[in-house]
Amino acid sequence: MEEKAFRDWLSSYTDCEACLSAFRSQKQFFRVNTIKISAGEFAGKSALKCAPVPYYGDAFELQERPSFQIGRTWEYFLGLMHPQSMPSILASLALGPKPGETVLDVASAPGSKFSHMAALMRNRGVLVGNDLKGEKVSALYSTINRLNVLNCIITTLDGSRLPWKSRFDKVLLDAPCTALGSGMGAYDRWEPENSAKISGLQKRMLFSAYDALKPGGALVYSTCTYAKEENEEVVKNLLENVPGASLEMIPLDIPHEKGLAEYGEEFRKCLRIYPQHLNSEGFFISRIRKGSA
Amino acid sequence: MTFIANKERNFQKYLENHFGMVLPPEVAIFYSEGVRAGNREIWKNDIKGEKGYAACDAGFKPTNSFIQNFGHLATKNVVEVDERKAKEFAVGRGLGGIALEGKGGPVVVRCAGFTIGLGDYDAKERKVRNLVPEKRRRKINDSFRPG
Repeated sequence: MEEKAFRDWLSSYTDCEACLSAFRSQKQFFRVNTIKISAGEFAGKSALKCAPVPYYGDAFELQERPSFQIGRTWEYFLGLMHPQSMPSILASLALGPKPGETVLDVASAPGSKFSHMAALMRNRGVLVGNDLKGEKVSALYSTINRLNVLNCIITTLDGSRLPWKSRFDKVLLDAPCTALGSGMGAYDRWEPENSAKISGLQKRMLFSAYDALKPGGALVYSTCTYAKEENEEVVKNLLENVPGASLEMIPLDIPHEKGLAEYGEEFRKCLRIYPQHLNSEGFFISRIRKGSA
Repeated sequence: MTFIANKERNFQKYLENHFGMVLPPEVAIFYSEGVRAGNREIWKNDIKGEKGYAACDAGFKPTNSFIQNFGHLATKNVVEVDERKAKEFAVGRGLGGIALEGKGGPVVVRCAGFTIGLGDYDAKERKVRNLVPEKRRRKINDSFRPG
């Protein structure tokens, strides 16, 4: 898509200039791996120039980009921290997995949210990480071994046809998407048809993830893109076809815009996080509750 | 199945004898030839495992990723090194002048309690051979003091 057309399209969602300018000057964030070290102890030992993030005590913002790669620090090598965008950290917080629960991450590689959920569960309970692509699973293993995630099982099943019914207390579906918010799906390679095309897969994956959820359980559906066809429309499709499914408020006190009310008032419970909100990538986060049987 | 269960039991016995390591019962991390705990077996047909050890003449040889995960639980055959030596080990070099009790074999290399990786101790030469896989090795910058 040409830049002018993309700007017009983006303006229908948010302040285009603020969004693109913040996107170009994104800050670098990381999360302390509380499985291995507390945020306080980390801050006392690390020489990285960083400041705590006001929205989450275990996350830090790099104030000065080091002259070397983060991957070449002791902090990284020893698995004491994990570079991760702020909205990606928030997706796991929106689900809020607890120690002892049974939790599924449908598309878990390379493992940022997955390992964060393990930390939130204090390495207790069962965390199932799934990803269809074998090469991505080796990256997932590298992450979980480095971060000492022990309460996990890895599977390589088709996320749109999961075999589990009513098995999990909580499910995270951070769906494959056109990634306009993270820069990987840059607008010059993107056309609205791309979103329409991937939307079908996202809808199938959401049905499958929802089936795996126990009655009364909670599911977070997120993407790192802006297109409504990949966000509200996918969630709406589930709500219209599954009795008992409903959207929930996400108790996170962060700057954001509400979900698009053109799909219904309840979609205002969803979070649309644009780069200008957190100086990080763009994200959509929704939380769905499965009705009791 | 019985064979695998026996092999797992033997491996756990090996861990206890060699490393003084007892795995927590709730640990569910799965290795294709390694540890499987409790009712996690219900998923066994779907699980994509990772190699945790290999059987060898001397008994067992754990993998580096296994040691990365469980090295902090070891109480025997542990080589504690200072930061300078830890950096050398992280980049792939071996360690010299090490005195450990026993016949040698796999050791956990740690710095200030943090696991750096797996080594192989040669009691005669008093050396530790580096068994950290190449893709995991790193030249470390000075931003952090583990100790």
